[in-house]
This record gives sequence, structure tokens and C-alpha cells, in this order.
Amino acid sequence: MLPLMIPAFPFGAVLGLAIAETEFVPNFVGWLSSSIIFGGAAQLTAVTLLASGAGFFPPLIGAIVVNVRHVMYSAAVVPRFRQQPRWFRWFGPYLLLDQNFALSSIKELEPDEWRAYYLAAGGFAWVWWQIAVAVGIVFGPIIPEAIDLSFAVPALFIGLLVPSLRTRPALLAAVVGTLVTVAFAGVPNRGGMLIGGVAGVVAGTWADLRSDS
Amino acid sequence: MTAFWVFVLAGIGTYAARAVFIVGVGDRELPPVVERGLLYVGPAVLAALTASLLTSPDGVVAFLENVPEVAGSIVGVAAALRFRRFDVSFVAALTVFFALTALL
Repeated sequence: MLPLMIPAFPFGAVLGLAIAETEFVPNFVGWLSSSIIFGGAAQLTAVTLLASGAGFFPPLIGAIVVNVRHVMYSAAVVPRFRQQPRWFRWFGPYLLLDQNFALSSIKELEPDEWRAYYLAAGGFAWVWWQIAVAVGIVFGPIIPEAIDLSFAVPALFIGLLVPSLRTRPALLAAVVGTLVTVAFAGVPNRGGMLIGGVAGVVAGTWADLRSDS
Repeated sequence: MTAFWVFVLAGIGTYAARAVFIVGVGDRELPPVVERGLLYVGPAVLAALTASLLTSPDGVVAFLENVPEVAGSIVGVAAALRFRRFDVSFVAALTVFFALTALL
């Protein structure tokens, strides 16, 4: 989890900087968004739109649209949650962020071990994220702009994704997901990603079912 | 207070998106085609998320002009194929990215 969360630190710090710089979001309220929403892309979308003076609904709708991808994560981890106790099925989704999804949907473990693993990874990510955003709010203004960490997150996802493509339908799902997302790159609020994700799932499922017949 | 209520409602929306399948259908058997489809949600969404981070909102042409990102991505994919380890791929991609950023 640590290698996965290291790139999240500058992300959180950038979010903290954005909070510190706008008069529309009080620093403490901005920091609270890390525990209320616990999703960096949605938080950054909401803070950016609030800072532009966009009012109430554009930041709200923007943040929720950015996080619609979690519906797909939720669907993907259903088999993992089926044998879990009720309290965990209610609390677990709160910790279902990109990094936790990426790790826990790959890891092969028994239900009890998986739950402990998920809670540890998610708990660590939660604490790490609160600290990162706080650091951004307090120290953000002195980070040198010459250090560009924008590539760190996509580089991380490449490293996670490629080794997991062990079957032909999985490879097809990833290739179609990539190409369709690129084709719809201009859609606002990362809408192209949703279209690409759905297209990739359809392509992979089609290839899988076709290989049966 | 506007910001606070935006965060609260966005937080509820985010939790709902994360919980909908886990809380809603956790006990029930899913139809076979859905169960099969879930196998490809991870690959498709991770690929779409990566592509979106690299190309949105300016498109693939703008991305291809960013030599450090393109070279870093290629090296990352190659290292991941060769070593099947995300940490090796991640370090290789970032090393190439930072080296080219410094040189160009």
C-alpha cells in the first residue's frame, strides 16, 4: 500500500494548496472534505469549482460525476464482500478508493484475511490522506513548482494494470477501454473515462462468452 | 457554509456509488453474464482511468507532444511486461519521465 500511496501525498498536498488559496472554502472545512468524501479527484473538482465562484450545484454535480466510477469498483468487489459480515459490508464501501480497489481486487486471500488486509490498507490510506491534505494547507505555498509530480499517478496505474492482464479477454477489455477513453477525451468531468470503462467491460465480456461457444 | 454542504452531499453521493452493489446485492447470486462481466471491470476501468489521466481534456495529439510522458508510459508498459511487477514498472517510468523532463 505504501508505494501506492506515496504518489497520493503530492496529490493531497496540491489539494491542500488549492484549499488554502481560495476564500470560498475555509481551511478547516476544506480539510474535513478528506474525511467526508475521501476521494481526491472529487474533492479537487469540488474545491476548484467552488474557488471559481460557481455556486452550489456545479461543484456538487462535478464531484459526484467524477466519483461515479466507484459504482464500477463496487460491482467489481461484490464477490469479495459476499462472505463478509454485515457491519463490514456497510463500512467497507467508505474505504473503497482507487488504490484500495486496485490492490484488493487483485490480491487472492481468504475472506477473514482479505477483510483484515482491506481494513489495514484502507485505514492506512485514510490517515495518510488526512495528513497529506493538512500538509498541503499548511506548507503548500512553499513547494517548488519545478518538481512536476503529475505523471506519478498514471505511471502507477500502468504498473498495476499491465501485469494483471493475463487472459485475452482482459487484454481486450484494457485495450478497448483505453482507445474509447482517448476517443472521448474531450468530454467534461472525465466522462470519457466512464464511456471507455463501459466499452471495455462489454468488449471483455463479449470475448469471454464468445470463447465458450 | 456553501462549501460544507457541497462536501456533505458529495460525500453521501460518493458513499452511495461505492456501496450500491456491495450493500444492495451482497447476499444474492448474480446472473452468470454479470458475474463474468465483473472480471473485466478492473482491467477496463484501470485502463480507462490511466488513459483519462494522460489525455483528458486535451486529447491524444496533445499527449503525444509530451515526450517525457509518452516515453515514461512506454517504458512503464515494457517494464511491467518484462518483470510483471508494478514497483519496477513505476520506478522505471518515473525515472525516464524525470530524466527527459530535465533534459528537454
